[in-house]
Amino acid sequence: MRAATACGVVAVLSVLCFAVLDAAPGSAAASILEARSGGRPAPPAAVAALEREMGLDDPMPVRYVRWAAGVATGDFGVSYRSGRPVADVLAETAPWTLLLTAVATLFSVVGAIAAGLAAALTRSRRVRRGIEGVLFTLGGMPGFVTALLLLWIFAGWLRVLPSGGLHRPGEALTVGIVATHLLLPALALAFGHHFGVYARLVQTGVERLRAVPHVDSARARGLHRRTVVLRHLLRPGLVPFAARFGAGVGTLVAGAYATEVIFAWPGVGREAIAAARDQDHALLAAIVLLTGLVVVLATLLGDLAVAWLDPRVRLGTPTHD
Amino acid sequence: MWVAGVVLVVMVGAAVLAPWLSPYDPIATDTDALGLPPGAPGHPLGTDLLGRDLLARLLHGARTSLLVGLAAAALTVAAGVLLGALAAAGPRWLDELIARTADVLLSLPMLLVVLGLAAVLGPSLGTVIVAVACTGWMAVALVARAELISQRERLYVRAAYGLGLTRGQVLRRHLLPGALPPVASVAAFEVGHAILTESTLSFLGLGVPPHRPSWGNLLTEAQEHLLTGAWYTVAFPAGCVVVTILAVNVLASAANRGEGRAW
Repeated sequence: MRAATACGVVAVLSVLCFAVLDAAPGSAAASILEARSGGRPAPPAAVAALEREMGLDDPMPVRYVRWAAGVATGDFGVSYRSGRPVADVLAETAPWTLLLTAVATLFSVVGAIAAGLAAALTRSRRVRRGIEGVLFTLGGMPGFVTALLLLWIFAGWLRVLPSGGLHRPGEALTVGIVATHLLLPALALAFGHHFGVYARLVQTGVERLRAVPHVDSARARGLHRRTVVLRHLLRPGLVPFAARFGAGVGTLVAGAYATEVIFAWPGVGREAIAAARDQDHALLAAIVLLTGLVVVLATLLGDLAVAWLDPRVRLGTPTHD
Repeated sequence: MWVAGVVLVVMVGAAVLAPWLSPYDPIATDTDALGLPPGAPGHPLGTDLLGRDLLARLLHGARTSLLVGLAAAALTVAAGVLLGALAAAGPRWLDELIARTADVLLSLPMLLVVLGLAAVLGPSLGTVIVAVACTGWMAVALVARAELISQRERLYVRAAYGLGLTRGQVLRRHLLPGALPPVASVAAFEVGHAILTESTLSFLGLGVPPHRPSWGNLLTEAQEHLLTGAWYTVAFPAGCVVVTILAVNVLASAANRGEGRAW
């Protein structure tokens, strides 16, 4: 059922993607000829000839089917800007984006659970207020402002981390060097996108359970505090967080775009922004489609995580909270 | 909450009064005043490397950013209420269509949709406003639809029909005013969302054209100076964006809590 909806979303996404990019003003053939002749506008006859050669004058459904068939076999066309196959550009950049997003997701989950738990369990009013204040401020910061702030603190002021890129020019690409360059963008991505919301969801999820009978009874039976927290508070308390996080992975993936631009991370996002600026439609369409696919998959995974955490969802019984 | 209100009033006031608050032209360059630090005589916030007064740029940037934010939020709410009302009052297939479209758009990250739009329409003020509305109407429409449907069966609405009012009259006089409070509390959050989207798009070079100062544009230009000691060129516009969004969020949460009581 869920999977069927997801397939529908992907189909609509692909049509939208193609239609929107196809409706763009300007002729791709004209700009290719212009680039070849060094900026001189091309004669209309030459433009028409190239359009026929590229199949750009076919009716739209024909072009959509051709594009979709190509995409299904991994052929995304040629990037107008660099003249290289889109698939090559993606193969080069996608792994770095996946790495960045995966590490950022890890930071985000661990950080949100830690901050949320600390705020929910601390007995000190001041600590709780402090955490809540920081979370609220983070909630009002656009992702790129968080990134600039981290960049300034760690690369500009303390000078402990590199400001961008994958490695210094001429330096070998080793795990350690990539890790130091990865740390700052991953932190920026994790803390810049809904982190406050996630931590608050963990906090309220756990707080809501503190006064519930099964937790009192677990405590009364003399269970270790750690067992009570992990088994009886955290696992059920994470349900609202997990439900929201699955939907929020999309924001994280899209947030990687701006983060990659700021930190000169050689990923898909930097290509996407450049493609949008230069109206490189083949590249942009492929990136938007693939990102959409990843997001739909992530949402499905989020639903599975909720089902694992909350047996009521798994068994199909109605939930009341 | 009062602090947030005062902050917003000051921001809007500063934006409206920008030409009177700072004597400088935000895009005029002055070769005698290149890269001055804050506190320099005549330039309270300093100048950038082209000799443009930062205070003037910040104030005129506030004009653009707040204008885009408010206009985009207004368009979002108008589109949301209209589509929500159509879904609630129209035929069943229209309701289905709007709900499915909202589902699809909600399951996609906002930036993807905006990126496609920005590529097609080209960077301009209008693009930003349309992009925000396209990615924000769903929340408003869902709330408006739910509210209208729940009110449709209330006694006073049925009484109005019984008195012989037409559907349009009932919608205008009885249903929409009743649906306003919950929509207003969603709308308040949309203003913050709109300002955030504008600054992000402009920062990425896909929003407001670079010759027109906006907070996002100022940040793009300032970014390269961040590591060379001119941190204040980043700090002021970034601070403005963050403080404005926080103030809007505080007010929106307050409106949310007081919903039904305050209205």
